[in-house]
Amino acid sequence: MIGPVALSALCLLAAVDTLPSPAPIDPRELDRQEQATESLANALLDLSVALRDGEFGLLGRAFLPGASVDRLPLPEGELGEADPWADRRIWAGGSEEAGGVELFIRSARDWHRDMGAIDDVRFKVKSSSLIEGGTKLKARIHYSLIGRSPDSRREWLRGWADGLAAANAEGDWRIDELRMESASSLRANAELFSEIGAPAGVADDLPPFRWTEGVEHGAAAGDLDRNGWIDIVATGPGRPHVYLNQGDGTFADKGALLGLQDHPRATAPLLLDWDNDGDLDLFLSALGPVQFYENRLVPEGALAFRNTSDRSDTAAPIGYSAISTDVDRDGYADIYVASYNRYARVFPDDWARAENGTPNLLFVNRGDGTFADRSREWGVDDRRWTYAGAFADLNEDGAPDLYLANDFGENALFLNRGKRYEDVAADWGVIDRGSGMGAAFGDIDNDGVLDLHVTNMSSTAGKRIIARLYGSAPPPLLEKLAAGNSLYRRVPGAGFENWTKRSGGLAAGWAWGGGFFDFDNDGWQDLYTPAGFVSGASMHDT
Amino acid sequence: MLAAQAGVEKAGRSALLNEQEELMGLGFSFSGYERNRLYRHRGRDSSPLYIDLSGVSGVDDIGDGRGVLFADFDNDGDSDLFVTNLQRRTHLLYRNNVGQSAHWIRIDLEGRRRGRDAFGAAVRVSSSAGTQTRVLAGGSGFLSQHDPRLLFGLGVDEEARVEITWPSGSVASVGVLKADRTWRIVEDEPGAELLDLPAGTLPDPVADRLLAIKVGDRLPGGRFRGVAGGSTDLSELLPAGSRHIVNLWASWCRICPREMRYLATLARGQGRNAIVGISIDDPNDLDKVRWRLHEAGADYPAVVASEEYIARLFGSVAVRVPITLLVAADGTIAEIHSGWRPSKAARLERFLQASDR
Repeated sequence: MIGPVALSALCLLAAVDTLPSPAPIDPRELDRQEQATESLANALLDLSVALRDGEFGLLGRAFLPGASVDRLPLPEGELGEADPWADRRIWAGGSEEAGGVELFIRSARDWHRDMGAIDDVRFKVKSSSLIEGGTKLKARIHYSLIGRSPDSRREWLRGWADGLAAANAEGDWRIDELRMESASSLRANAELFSEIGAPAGVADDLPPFRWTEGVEHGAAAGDLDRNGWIDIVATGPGRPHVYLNQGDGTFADKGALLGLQDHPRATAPLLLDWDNDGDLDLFLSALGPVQFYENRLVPEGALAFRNTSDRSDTAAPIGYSAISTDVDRDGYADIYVASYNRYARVFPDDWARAENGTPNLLFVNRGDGTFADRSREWGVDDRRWTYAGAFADLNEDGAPDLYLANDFGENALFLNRGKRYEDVAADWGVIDRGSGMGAAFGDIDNDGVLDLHVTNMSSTAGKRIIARLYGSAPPPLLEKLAAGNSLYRRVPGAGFENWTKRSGGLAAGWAWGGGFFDFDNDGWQDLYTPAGFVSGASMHDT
Repeated sequence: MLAAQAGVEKAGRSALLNEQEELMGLGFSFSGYERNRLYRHRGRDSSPLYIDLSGVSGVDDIGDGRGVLFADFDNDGDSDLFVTNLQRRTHLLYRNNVGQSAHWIRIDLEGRRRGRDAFGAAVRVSSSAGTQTRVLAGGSGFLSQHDPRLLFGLGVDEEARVEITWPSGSVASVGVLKADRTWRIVEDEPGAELLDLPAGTLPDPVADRLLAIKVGDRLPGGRFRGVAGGSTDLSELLPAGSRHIVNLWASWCRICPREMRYLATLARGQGRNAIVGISIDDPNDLDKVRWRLHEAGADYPAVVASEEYIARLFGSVAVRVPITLLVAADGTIAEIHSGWRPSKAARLERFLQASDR
């Protein structure tokens, strides 16, 4: 049986016409390599969980009997300040003494003794190859430990190990040799953030996600009742939550009292004052009809929503991210909706240049509180699989331009040419082919010009397979598909230049939204990226 | 594409999905349990430009993150985060504990010509860090729309020059505005209006489980090692009959010096021992402690807590600093504050000025 990861790669290869072909490796050989690697990777995940939980008796299961194993690295000394918010410590790896699994287990006990708390441990196979006639697997392993040092500062250790694995009698791949390299950790010198959803009254619990039923949920911030406090609208499986900020550090979910109906397929809320009356109205993007709710704060004096959808053209079958600006410069905010498609029911017609998404929508505000889809006239009824977008006037002509993050293909940069948009992504250097999920404008060099951040998937398994297929020089397209987020610096008059490498790497896993914010107010905009696709009951990854 | 290839591909796709659903049913993950990431910008000439602080940030949830709101929910001058997840705990709220320790400026825009929201306006704020630019976005990222009031960090700067490019393309130079305030700027109207936002604070789980002692308790007594040498008793340090501010800090604490600099200023013109620093550090390694005090200009009495004293203060609770205790004339603790923000200054001054009945 072909494993799902290998299968994904094969689908990709079969689908992409532009790749060098044939793939330089026999699919069955690729599958053998990945089957062994996944087996080992999952054994290492079990090891990780046991290490995290202090289940020392389970640690031996990752190893073959008689395995030669180093101890885990132990803190050795301070390296000083790595960042204003974190110091660096060095952890010594390797073993002077030759050891077995017992030595490893003993050092695991040392970790638990020496750390104030252990929150997470991960061992991941970054690259691997079958050797000795396929009987052994040589693996390059990255590991991390997240917890708190005894003085309660958050600490994050990262390091590398070399492993040699072989199959046991059951055909499961286990470690026979493990060499731990020295590593270093970051140790925070302040408690940067605290999670307070429950005490603040915004906690929400959903059942585990089902592939065929699930919906992605979004949120919007704005002062709905104009009392000086920022409220939150967040979509959910029923009625959208309206978390009204009480000003005392808590929020009250008033969605039901404000006239909102159930919209179980709603995705993104968007707050905008579409009638310029001074209060924030609510647009809901959805996998199904979009919804318009007019805020009655003005003129009625109390926050309440009235559904005005029937007055507008709302035939959109699918909507993900929704963004707003005054596209046609008539003084009224318009709305653009990224439409993507029903993934799982429909598949992209090309894994690297898909064009069978549902057309994106441009709801032009008629000025009387009603909207009409003018995406076709404006040339933005794009059928790429668009998840998100962002507006900004990049060429400073007083007309908002539009960047789109598209999954399974090329992103778009639409310049506003008056009554029509024109895609200049290629000329401006921001095609950013890959799994585009999100986009945001900010400033990465404080030169007074807006730069661009795009989120894309990065994948350990993907990188591993690509390396298996093409070695160290994969086709740029394939490499990009698993590489992660991108950062582009705007050069006025010359499009954008790619600053991803200068960033130091923004491989954030299966990345979604986020963008620029300056968490420590030091005058430089930091980046935040929510990540992760679907976590099942087991950490075992396909 | 060849027909055979297309056939393989189609079969592959449906097999892929079936297999994914089946594996999910069995509990497997698909790029699951990944951490949300925080990359800190290290400044103009740094290489690389960012450092990944995720694992020490506290905002690195592993619950399949999707969207995020950057918003100042307690109007204290820093960005808190609201994160949406795919499943299980779908809403997370993060309190920013450190941003308030630097200066900031907030710009609240109202448009006239291209809609009241002024979506698409670009705001430029010039300070010693250069000219930061932000766009007032009506939605960005993924399924997300941030706080419409644009917040800029200013580091140590106490003012900044502000310029707006309105969505119409017209540029308005607002001039130099003072930091730590919110300014409302209306298109086609001159200048900026100071906006008096209500101030508050989000729940602070650190403060709630801060100490083994609570408001109303007497501060435990004990003998301390003086930073300059010798040893002293708490009753000598904090003589009864007057009010005291006791600052718990540590040499490794990043925010502490900002509060200490303020406390040093406050201490001048106050009575003897109005302010006392207790450091949570290794009593055998005092060089760093002395150096930090020197850097902060803190010349008020400073001592180092013994291990036993730390245990009495914090019990089994993790040590967190800075914590500032306001001690009444009868020796009981009147207030406990964690973290530091400039807005706390007035509270401390009032405490020292008032007298106990």
